[in-house]
Amino acid sequence: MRFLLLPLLLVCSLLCSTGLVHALDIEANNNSRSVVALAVHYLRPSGHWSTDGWYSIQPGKTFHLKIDSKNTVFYVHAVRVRDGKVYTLGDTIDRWVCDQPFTLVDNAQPATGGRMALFSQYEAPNLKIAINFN
Amino acid sequence: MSGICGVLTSEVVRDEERTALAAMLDALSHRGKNPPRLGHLGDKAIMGYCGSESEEDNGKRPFVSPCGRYLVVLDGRIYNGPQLREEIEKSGHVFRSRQDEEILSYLFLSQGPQCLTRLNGMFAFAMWDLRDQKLFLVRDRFGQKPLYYASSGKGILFSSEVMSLLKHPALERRPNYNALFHYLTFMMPPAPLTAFEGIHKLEPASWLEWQPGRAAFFLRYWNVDGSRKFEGTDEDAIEELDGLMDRVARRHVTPGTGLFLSGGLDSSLFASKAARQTGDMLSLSLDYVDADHGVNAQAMQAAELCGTRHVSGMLDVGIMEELPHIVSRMGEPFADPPLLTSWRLARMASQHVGAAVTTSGTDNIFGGYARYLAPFLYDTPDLPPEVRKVHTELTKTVPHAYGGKSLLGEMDPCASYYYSQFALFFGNRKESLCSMDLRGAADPQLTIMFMLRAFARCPRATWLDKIQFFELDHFLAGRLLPRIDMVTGAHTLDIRIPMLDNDIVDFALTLPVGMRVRRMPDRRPGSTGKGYETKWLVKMVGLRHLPHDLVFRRRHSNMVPLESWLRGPLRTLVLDALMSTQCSIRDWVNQSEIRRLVAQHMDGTANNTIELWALLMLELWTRHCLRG
Repeated sequence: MRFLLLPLLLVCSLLCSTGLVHALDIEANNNSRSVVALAVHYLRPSGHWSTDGWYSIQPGKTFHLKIDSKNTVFYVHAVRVRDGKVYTLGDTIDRWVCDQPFTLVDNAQPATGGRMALFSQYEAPNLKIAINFN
Repeated sequence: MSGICGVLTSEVVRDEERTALAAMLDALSHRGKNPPRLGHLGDKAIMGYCGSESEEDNGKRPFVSPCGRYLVVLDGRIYNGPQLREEIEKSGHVFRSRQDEEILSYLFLSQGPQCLTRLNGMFAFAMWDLRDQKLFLVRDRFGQKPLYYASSGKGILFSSEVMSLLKHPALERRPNYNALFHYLTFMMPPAPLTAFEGIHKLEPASWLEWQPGRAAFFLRYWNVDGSRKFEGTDEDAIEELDGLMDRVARRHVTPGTGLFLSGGLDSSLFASKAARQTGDMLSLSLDYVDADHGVNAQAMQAAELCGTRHVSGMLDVGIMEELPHIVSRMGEPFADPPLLTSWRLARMASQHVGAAVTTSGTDNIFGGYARYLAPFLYDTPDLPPEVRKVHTELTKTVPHAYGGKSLLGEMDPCASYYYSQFALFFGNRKESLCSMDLRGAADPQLTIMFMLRAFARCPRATWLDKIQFFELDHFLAGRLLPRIDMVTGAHTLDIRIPMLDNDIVDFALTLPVGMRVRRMPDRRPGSTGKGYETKWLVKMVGLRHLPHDLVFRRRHSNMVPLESWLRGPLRTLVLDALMSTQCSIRDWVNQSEIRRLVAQHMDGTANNTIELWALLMLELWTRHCLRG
């Protein structure tokens, strides 16, 4: 058994490394007739949660986000700009956002112009997910 | 309930093999009310069967297919048998019987082992193909039905129980040190190991293929599909689960079926559905004389609510007189204290009904255990960064208690976390406990490699998924289901586990983490503030049928009061078994460590209940199974 240890270690490190690509790949499909604005709350490799916004998706278009995270659980705040409808799904949390483009670490309150927004939990088992906004 | 066994040889089966098989079958006779039967096909295969079928269903068993090619023995049922039968009939086949064995033989004839993915049921079966001279041994997805096998030197043997296999003269009772070493960590030798050298258990969701003169090989026919994900809303999921539970209640509950009803959410919810199906259902519960957890009172309330007739019982320390018999039936060392509760419940049920339903497995597949909360938090922002950092460093250090990086921690922090939380003995503590002889005979690295392999197989990456996935094979299949099979088999009680029906499981395994554990305002009566609900989706379905207080009732410990029993009425048993010169396990465990564990427990400075219970069960197994 012991002489199998090294090959087994190599196999295990390969198994552990595959599927843990440091890029969460989100395909956001805007199937509505309005611009959809997105903010994403995700776990950085450093162990800190970060909220990044805003990503704009034109009507009928698809937007690919590559997020620097290897956590399969993340959160999205998506709002239909035309009427302010917020897309919600499943578990939700409140996080700080700004009106201007922003990055907030560990849900720090912005110095100015901040507000709370509702983020929905998503899960990307293989770090890839397609989300549809209708 | 039924039992199966068989002997297959490379040469012609001789009279001594027939005699051996008869002895093996006799050792299974408690698993069936009808006289056991033997059958053969060709000159290399004989099989035995015992069961409790009614006269109408009492087909020919062991079963020989109408084409004369297959000999089949089946322990269990194929739930989707009627659907498969209908499909097969549409293709032109004419069935000669109503037996599931005929369905299996036709499927193997037309599709080979690929047909196994189509089966929904609880089953272990053996099929001898006379034409191709091949034996198939198959187990269901989660190991609801057991199957053990061993080489006889001239061929292969199999049986539903270990002690039955040991009736064959070719097998010696020798301990498997690796299995015993694992037992001290996992409280049960994990598949494919058993506590006996040379005897193996077939892993769940697997089949073994053997031909005379060749080595056997194994394949898994089912794995969790990590890519399938439920895409609907919360309301869609609630509706789907509600409908699925109605469907499996219709499938699994027949007139005269009993139900184990603790008064908790799972059993009460199922009772509310099942009682509607049959109109007259008997429910059963058990509590403890020396530690009244209020189980019977809650169960009776639930019974009244759901409309079942209810019988309740009490368990006291007198059950310990049956312990040697219980251990002998188990066949392997088994450290789960609920074994005692299950034993008494099965006996109570067998006095009233021939079949009973349990909702066991619900917590495993829907994320019900409180221990799932910490892994859930690990993947969400609710774990503060400073705690996450300390937690990550700690998982790299354990299981070696005194610092230093560990292999398991470096390779898989989640596996390391789980190991440190739930292993019984590990690291320095295990080193102190195990004798040099045991550490020399076993491979200590095997436990770590076993964990790494099991965790690496998980197709999803959240901590909650990895731990639930691991527990499917090694808690559900390794501890919970063997316990259920043994206690019901010992009392000839047919058991049904509807929450492990493929339809329910296939749905549950697609659920995102947020539908298993959900952050919510704490809904427990008398509580305030934000909390988390495990088994969230089941609770939401529960709200449709049961009162709020029952659904969100705080889960009380329902453990056997072993802590006080070991200090009180069982003190003499513990001292005699573990600390005398007659102690059978003294070659494997250090007496100084046992003395320390016993002394600390008896004087109240520590609660070593599970540790002492595990050692006591190992001692009793050694006396009554290994050397008995």
